[in-house]
Amino acid sequence: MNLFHRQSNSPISTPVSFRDLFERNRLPVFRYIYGLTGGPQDDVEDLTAETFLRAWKARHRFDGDMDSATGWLIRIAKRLVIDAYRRTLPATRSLLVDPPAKSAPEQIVIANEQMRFLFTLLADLPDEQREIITLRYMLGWRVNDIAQHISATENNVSVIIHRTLSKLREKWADNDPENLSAVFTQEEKIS
Amino acid sequence: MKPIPDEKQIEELLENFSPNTSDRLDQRLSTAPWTPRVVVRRRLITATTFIALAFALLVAVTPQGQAFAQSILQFFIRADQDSYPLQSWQMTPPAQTSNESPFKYSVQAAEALAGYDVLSPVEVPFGMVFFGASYDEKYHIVAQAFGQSADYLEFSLWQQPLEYYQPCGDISHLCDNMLGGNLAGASADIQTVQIGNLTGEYVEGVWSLTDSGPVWDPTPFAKTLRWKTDKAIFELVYNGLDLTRDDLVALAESIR
Repeated sequence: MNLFHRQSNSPISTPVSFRDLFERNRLPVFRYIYGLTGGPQDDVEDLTAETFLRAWKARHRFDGDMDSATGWLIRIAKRLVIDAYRRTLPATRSLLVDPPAKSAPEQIVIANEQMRFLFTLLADLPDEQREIITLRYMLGWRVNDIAQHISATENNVSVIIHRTLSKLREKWADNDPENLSAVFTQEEKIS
Repeated sequence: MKPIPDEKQIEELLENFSPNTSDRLDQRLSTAPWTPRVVVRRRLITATTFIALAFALLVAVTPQGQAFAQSILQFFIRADQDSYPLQSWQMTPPAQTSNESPFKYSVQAAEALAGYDVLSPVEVPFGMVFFGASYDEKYHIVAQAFGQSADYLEFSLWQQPLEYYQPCGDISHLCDNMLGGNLAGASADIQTVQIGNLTGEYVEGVWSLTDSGPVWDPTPFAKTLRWKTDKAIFELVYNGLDLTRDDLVALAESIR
């Protein structure tokens, strides 16, 4: 009889299995938090680390399989993001979007400006819309996975995505401060 | 009309945005509990704890073990019983002492009188203040008293150069200096503690001087921690329930 190991049905209860979970999910969790908060990178990494440390503490309570573990981690991350938002005044937060790697300098500047602006627009969206957009585009989740995760119908999620994109487009038009849209016009002409 | 990105372009922008973690995340989680290094270390600690527990059990249950345990205590001596008959020194009236508090010096003044560096905690426990220091010229002991009010000195720190240290662990003689009295009751739970890289001993309890003789009272209200450096022996005495053994150890570690 083993008196010292807690009996658990969790597939992530051992350090080895948890390590596997971490390696598989570090990037999705990081990008999810990035999508919700818009950065900065250091804060997002802190929240990512905290998500996995919390998950480690709660690993014995997780009774799903490895596939559903991502959703479980995302829920932990969401709670942490909400807590972090409560602690931070919106006025003091800054949206700093890091440029994508391996890009030419000019493209970096453009991408950075566009993403910075887009994240500013995203920050004004209701939490649910921002989360769905993040899951769909930054994590590449399918609509049915998102629907299952947020307990909604697929149709509902599709409608929200469509409406949110329209809203982002409208907001872009209303708030475009540095005429960033010109870039898209140029791209269209080139293609 | 000003051109704006369409929904497809916004989708592409979002899809192509793929931020990556930096080395900072790995550094941040380098000591996470699931990392191989930490797992190995935890196993080592578990194994060591098992050995220590087995040893403690051996010490606790066998007479040889108890004798061995006593032999390795540095600062306290375990009495052979918890109560003794009335002692002759209990019947001798105490010498007349002045009403003046012995804690009448600043640390600097006590240091000047003692002629050695007097160490103090960097921070005193919440709500307490420093009341003063005393100097015992016979035993070269400097004591510092702390508490919430002058009427209630909860915590004191005693320091004596090693060359003057004289243990007096004998119930039949009154020990007239605080640091010398090192006799604890037979049942006293004398614990070895780590204070930084020094080893100390901690005990809860006090001899209660009843009319029928001294009786060991293992009250958690009276806590004593002793340790020594290469120059001096120290004693931290706390009368209260708010601070734990670990708090006292932390205080001891903070003295400079």
